Amino acid sequence: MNRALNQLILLGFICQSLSWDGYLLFFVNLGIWFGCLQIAKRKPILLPPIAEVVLLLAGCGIGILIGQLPDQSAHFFIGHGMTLFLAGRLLRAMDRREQLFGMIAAIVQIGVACTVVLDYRFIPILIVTAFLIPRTLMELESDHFPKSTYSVWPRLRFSRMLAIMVIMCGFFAVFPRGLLSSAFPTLRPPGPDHGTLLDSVLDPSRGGTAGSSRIIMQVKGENLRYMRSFALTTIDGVKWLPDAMPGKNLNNFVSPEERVNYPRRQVRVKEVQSIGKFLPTDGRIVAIEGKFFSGPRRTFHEYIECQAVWTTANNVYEYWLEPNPEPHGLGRRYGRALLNYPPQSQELVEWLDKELTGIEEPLEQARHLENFFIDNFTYELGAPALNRVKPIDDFIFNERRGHCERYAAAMGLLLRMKGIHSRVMVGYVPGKTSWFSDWRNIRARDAHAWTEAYFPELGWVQLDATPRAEMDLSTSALRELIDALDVAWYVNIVNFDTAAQRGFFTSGVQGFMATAGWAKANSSWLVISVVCVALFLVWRSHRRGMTGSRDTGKPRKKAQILAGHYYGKMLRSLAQQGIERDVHMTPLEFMETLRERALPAFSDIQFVTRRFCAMRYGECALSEEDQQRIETALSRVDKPDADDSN
Amino acid sequence: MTRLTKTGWTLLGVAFVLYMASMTSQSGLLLFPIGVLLGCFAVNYFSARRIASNLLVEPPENAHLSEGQSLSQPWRITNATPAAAGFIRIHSPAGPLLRIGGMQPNETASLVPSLQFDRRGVFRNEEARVFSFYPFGLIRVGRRQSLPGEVVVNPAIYETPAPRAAGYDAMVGGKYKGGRRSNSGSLFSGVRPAEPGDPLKHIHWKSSSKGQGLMTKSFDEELSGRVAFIMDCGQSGVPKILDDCARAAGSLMFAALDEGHHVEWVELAGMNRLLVPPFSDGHEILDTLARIELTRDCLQLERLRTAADRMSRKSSIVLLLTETNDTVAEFVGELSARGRRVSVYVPEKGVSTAELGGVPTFSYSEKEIHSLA
Repeated sequence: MNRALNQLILLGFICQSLSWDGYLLFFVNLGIWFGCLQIAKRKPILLPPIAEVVLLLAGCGIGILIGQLPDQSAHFFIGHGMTLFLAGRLLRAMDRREQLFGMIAAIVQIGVACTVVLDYRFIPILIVTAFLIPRTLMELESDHFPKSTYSVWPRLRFSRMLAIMVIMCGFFAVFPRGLLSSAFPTLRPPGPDHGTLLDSVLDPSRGGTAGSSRIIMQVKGENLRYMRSFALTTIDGVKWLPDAMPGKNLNNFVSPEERVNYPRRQVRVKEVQSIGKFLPTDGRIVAIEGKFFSGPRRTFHEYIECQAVWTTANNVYEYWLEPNPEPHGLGRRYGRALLNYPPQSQELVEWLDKELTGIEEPLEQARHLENFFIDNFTYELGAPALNRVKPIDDFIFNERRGHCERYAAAMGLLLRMKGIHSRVMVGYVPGKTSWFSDWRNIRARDAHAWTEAYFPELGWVQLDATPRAEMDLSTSALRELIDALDVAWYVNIVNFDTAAQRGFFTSGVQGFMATAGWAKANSSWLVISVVCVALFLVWRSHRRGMTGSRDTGKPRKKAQILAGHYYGKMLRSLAQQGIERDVHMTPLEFMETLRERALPAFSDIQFVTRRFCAMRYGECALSEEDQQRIETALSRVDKPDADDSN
Repeated sequence: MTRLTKTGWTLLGVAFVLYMASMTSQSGLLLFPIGVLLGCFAVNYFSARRIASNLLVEPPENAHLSEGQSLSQPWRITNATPAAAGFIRIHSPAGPLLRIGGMQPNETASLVPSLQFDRRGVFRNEEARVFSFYPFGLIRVGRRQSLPGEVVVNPAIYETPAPRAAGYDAMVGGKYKGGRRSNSGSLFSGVRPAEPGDPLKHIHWKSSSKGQGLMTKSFDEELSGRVAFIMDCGQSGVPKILDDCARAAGSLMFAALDEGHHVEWVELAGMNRLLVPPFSDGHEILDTLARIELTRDCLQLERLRTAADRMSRKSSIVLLLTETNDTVAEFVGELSARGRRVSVYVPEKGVSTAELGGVPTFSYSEKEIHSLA
């Protein structure tokens, strides 16, 4: 478990598990890894090659089968096969070739995470990867050398780790994107028509994520309004349905040179799957540009529907709005269609007439109904389901609470009952501006439904009958920070394409030129500063050279030299007294032979010998005090008689 | 001498696959693991280069070995870098000499190479190379350091009967008995009446006491022969046969020296004549045999004749061949016609044979010599 290779394999397992939605596979793979290592620790199992192949095929098969389930992908089935294959090998010790193969398989599985984990979860994966790959390589190479040939075990120094990280980041920044632009886009299926928002986001009773603060996209522009995704124009008595009639192909009505005169919006879509095949816009557009969709059409209801939408490294689109759109007629066909509604109960008709008594103007009637809902109803997520036969009656007379869809649907129906053309729009309400940029976040909880009514002289008028929500939409500072990092990561890293790379270099060159210009303008001060720093460095190096404080090895070496000097001096003194040390004797053995002779200066000899061993072999330092004591002892060894006389 | 290792090539391939995957998946994040791998390559290159350049290697001056032996003297390796070093290999042309897993900064290690030198030859230390793979084993950076000294690996000689000699001359210590008597020697022959001028110490007192006058000891004459070796330096073009030939040559020459013969030797590549007196230690023979290099097309009639002319006319001729052909047969015929005593030694197998005119022929293999006729 302590081996870097095993840890890298675990990381590969984790990355492979992220190719599936949910965390079930994560825990399964974790358990497999842990269990296999425990088995290998207690009783290794050597599987025959055929069994390993069976494991590989079984893993692939499981990957393909489960990939058929909704929201799962079978694209990475080989990785699942490799997981089981490696698990089989973890049951025993692997030879070098198998270890290298295991490392490669883990790197490929990490590569899977690079394609599916595009949010900030990738950051820890990347850091661990950058740490484990070099460690694993070092571990593999160290197995080539016998343990006896190591006086120090190789370890990954911080400087090398830092160098690898710098090279990694530099490579990411400067490597030409080339074919990475969008040569082979992955086509995304269009998904269920018009059901995306209503089914999975707005209605919490269906298990959606209405309260989710997950950022779906960001939008930049002035005077942003509600962003339309699509319109619901037909009511069958229970629910509103989309228009069955095809829209018109969108032509860019203005040339690129003329677009500067039109309000411009930029949208960064972070989760393409959340928008289906509609591009949210907040008005009547005259041009749209983007590289992750094809065949955009501006429909009659002025929302943008595409033939196909896919995900790329940079899901950005921009569009230009008509500043003051003139109302266009509905036409006979649409005029009739937008007034259709199924017969309603007498009670509802009487209530509506009573409510609008004395109000003749259609626009005033619409505003009155809008205010009626806002003032008398309550916004509530997860409200009980309405009566299936008479949902509007149940909503207006009984429940009087619910989420935005109910208000938009009820409002649209009531307007048609009064002969006003209406439709239900579904889209997003731009949220707050991000605290580090002028982009406005649109989160999952910002999905919204509202009503639009048509008046011949005004065109389509927006009516939002949803009461003020009493939801706590405040987010913690930590959450804000994570969101900011997430978006920064997504914008600057995930979306780092050729254009971003060009901008990166351009800003770098501009920064260099600016710095050079500044240096030129302040050359005199710069020269003075450089001279001062140089003088300081020279003074410091000179001082260090005087004291030798930087070289920590010098005192030790000096101590060793002095140790040999003092011990040799003692041996010479003893030799002059007729006591010689045999060449085969160690210093301690020689000292023990002297103990038997009961020399008067034996304690001094003992002291010098022990200090010699400590300095020579134990690499102990020598203090000034020690030096004086040794010299005193040597003087007594040299003249034992004088010492006795004293 | 910078190369990618197998692991390096493999991981470079993995990086390429990841790049292809980044194109198909449109994920630039895949450039990160590629960057990690390339970072490892870069760090590996610079670290290994620094180690290979700054490692101080001090080999022993000269070493003389016999085939199959290992060095017994240590090599001193000093890590002169301020950082730890490791994954070091020192290779000589004979094979890997040393492997060092890790060394501390400024550490000096004395290591005895475990390499067993299986083939004769001269391995100069300056040809040794220091490799480092530190720290990831992706790139191998090597440096050739101008190291002094050499390892001379002599051919492994074995016991074999001495070759036939000729041109016997009297020589003290000669192991062959001549027909004449002499006053000194180690082979006691008998006694004879003393004559004026005989040294006193040669008087045989025991027989002199029998009343027939002073008797002096006489000894058999001691003779030693001459053997001239002509060695083909690789006409067959097979290094192993040349090595076997060198072993056979060394073994025969030492056997001849032990028998008290003079040894003369000419190798056909350099045409240098070597004369070794009997009972010599023969180090020059082994040194020359160790340095012989494979040379084809040296078995030419002119060369053979020149070599024979350089030899003593009384000596027997021993032809040590790596291959036999018509030229050899012709040369042997010429020698026989001149009354020269000729022996031919040919490899046991792997070469063509030719009619050699009934001269004694022997075959040599890696460890022994057999008589063929």
